[in-house]
Amino acid sequence: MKLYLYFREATRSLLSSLQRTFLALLGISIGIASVIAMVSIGEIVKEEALRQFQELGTDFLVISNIADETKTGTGIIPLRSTVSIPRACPSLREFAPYAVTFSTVICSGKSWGSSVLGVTGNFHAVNKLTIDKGRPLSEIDQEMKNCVIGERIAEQMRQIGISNMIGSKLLIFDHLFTIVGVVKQASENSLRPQEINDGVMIPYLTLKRITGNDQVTGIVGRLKKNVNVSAAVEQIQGIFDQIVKERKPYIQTASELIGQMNKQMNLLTLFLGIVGCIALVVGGVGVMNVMLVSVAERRREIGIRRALGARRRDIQGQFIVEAFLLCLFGGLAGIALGIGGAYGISRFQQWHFFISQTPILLGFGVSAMVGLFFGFYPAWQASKLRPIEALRAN
Amino acid sequence: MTAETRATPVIELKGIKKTFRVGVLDLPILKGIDLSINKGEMTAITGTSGGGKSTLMNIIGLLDEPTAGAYSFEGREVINLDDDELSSIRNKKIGFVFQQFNLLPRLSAAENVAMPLLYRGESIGKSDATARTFLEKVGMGDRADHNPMELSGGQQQRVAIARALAGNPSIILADEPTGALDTKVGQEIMDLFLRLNKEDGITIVMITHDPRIAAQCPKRFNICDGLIKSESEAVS
Ligand SMILES: Nc1ncnc2c1ncn2[C@@H]1O[C@H](COP(=O)(O)OP(=O)(O)OP(=O)(O)O)[C@@H](O)[C@H]1O
Ligand SMILES: [Mg+2]
Repeated sequence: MKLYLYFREATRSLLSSLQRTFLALLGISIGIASVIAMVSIGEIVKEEALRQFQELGTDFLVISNIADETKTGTGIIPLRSTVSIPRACPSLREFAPYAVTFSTVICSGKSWGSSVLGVTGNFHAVNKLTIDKGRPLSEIDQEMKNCVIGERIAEQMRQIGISNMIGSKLLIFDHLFTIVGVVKQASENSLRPQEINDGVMIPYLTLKRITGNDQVTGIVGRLKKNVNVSAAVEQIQGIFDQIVKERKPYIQTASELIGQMNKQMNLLTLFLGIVGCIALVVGGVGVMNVMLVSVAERRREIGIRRALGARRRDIQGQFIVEAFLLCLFGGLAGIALGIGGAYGISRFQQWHFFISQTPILLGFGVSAMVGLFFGFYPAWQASKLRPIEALRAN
Repeated sequence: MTAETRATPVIELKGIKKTFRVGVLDLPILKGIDLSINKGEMTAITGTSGGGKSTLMNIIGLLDEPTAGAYSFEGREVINLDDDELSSIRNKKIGFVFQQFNLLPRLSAAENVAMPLLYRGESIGKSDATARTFLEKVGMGDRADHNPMELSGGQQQRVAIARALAGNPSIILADEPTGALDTKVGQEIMDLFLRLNKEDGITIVMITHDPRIAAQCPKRFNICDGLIKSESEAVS
């Protein structure tokens, strides 16, 4: 192997036709950049999606579809029967039953239709909600006409000019409630009851007293540390299947959802990676094209070298090194471009930018492979030229 | 010159034929060439244009294969050798000089001259030193770092001759080395060949159109219609 010679000759020829070199570099670096940007974006989107669940906590769990919403009055599970849950479900560390109803909410003559959540004192804590103004509802609010509003009602009040909501009155179910707190917007894609953002929270017992409605719509809870999630879910499912005969209770846990999410997001990353690879192949074909043209243009040079005693593998080596160098530098530029692209998109989408080593290693590996793969054929073509034919070419 | 070296010619051709296929037509160009060239000889090959001189030279230089015939190079049968072995003989035993000089345009004069040595596996440093000695020898020592583009035709041909000599080959094959040069410069190149032959005993085969150049070679072949028509050897 005369690698030093191949490198010298390859470098000379790349430098001697800068336009050709530039075009090849452009093709390959766009290809590599798209692989890296795509894979990075995939990973960033995945982290972004998982972050919302991680903030909620992997021990979070929701039990739903346990109420018959067509009925009013006492439901399948009234609040008082939930006191037996800790005994029945030992893996639950904490739980907060809640009821969802609907009412017109009137404020300063304006009225909106809104969800009304009847909640227990620990609902706020179990859901890890954050208070924006005022305070959350607690156990001492039970049976009192105090409420905490979500972001949607807060926004609507702001629109009618009420900026200091704490202490303001809302007419709910024709009863006057005092706003004691405003909760911050909870992230959309989490398992939390959607009504938190959309509606008003009032004490469960207050809801029961003024509407006569006592059916637990759902239960949010937290699992104990170190329990086997799927076993716990199975056990809880068994209990609720027994209590709720008419319908199938749903149990969702954050950890299972994160698992599914992970799979979906890995699929997304794979898909994006494939899209990137297609761009890379196009870039690689570009390199091959440039190399083939270069071989055709340099037939005479090849002939001279063969006359001077270059063996086939010397010619091949020189051209492969040329393709390899193109892909190496194209790869470096592509990595920079790809990281830049991923950063730009993350910035624009307000995602937390990070770059892992996977796309970089992938980019490097793939560009080297592309270089060798797409460099091989033109190099082989060059090497199999018969010396006399090459020499006769102009 | 010892009896032994005289006994084995550098080049020995017997019944060399070459037929080109053009479409459905077979064009016989060489129709049975017998030729032998001994060490230290300076030979001119002349003949009509299109008569097959270059074709013969390419076969001698192992750049092309004959359709039929026997060829031994320094006593070794070279028909049917594989490509690597042919490359190795070209690299170590044959020096080419072309009408169009055929220097590699991106390399300096010294780098061009060093090329055969590099393909042989010599280091860059060592081959560069050798290249410079040979450039000195052809009177191009002061142009070693110039690019071919910066040199005149005659100067380029001197560099090409240095390149052909640098590998210390058994034979120099020159296809119309003066063909692209004016008479005066052509004669200078011819003088260089004559000097190399006389002083260093270099074996040279040269194709030429120019009777004045051919007349200066002690041995001459005339190729006509694919055969050697006349052969003359000056008594020296
Ligand atoms: N590869 C080829 N295919 C077909 N015909 C060829 C090929 N190479 C050479 N010829 C033909 O062979 C004949 C001899 O060519 P060659 O180059 O050997 O002539 P030459 O004696 O060197 O002529 P000149 O003095 O003009 O250089 C020409 O008619 C040429 O067209
Ligand atoms: Mg010719």
